[in-house]
Amino acid sequence: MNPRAKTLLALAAGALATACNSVPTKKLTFDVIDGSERPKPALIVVDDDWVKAWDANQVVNVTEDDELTLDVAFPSSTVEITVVPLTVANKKVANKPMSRKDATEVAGMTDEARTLKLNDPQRHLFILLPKPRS
Amino acid sequence: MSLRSPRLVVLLAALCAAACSSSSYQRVVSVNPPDASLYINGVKIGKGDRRPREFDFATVGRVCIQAVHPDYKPEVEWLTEADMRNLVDTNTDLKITLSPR
Repeated sequence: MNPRAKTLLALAAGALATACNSVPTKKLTFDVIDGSERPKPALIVVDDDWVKAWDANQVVNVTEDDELTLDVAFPSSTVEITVVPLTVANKKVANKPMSRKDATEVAGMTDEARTLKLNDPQRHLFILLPKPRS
Repeated sequence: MSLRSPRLVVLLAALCAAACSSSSYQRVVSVNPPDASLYINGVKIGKGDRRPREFDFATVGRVCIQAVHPDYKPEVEWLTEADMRNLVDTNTDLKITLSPR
């Protein structure tokens, strides 16, 4: 086999290996409302990666009524999406919670976690409620 | 009829059957209370008064049905195509009852 053919064969094998090992991703869109269907500021956490959620500014309804679309990787058959409430002042996040407990205590709202599959719908609505008085 | 024709007929029949097998369903949905808002796959489709709704499984494995009302706890239901086929086969409506908050 000549060198050029060997190179081509190696490249093809590499491409095939990459294709076979690639993690599937899906565009998912998130929106968050309360029980009265008003937009609620929230952080979207994928697979409990809070650092990435803040680094990538995965927030909704902070500066305006909007939604968030993310390319979500599915390294396994499901991903865990956690949506936690945020407090906002002057269109800026007032605190940066790093846990569900912190977020719900500060905002006084419930959170919601949902396990999603690759073939689930593209759009996801989360509904957060005021925390019940203890 | 030539030897090729029966094969062609079988092939066409198979293609027709595949094209005719729909993954779209229509089912009556009602929410109690009926003035609750109804969302399917994150999109608001109206109020929860009793009426037929469309469910399409062409690109998804399950659909998400949500009902929300200011005075009630919201409800989320996930239905697979098998769940939906069962509702159709048994001619059962999809009923969602919200609990007061």
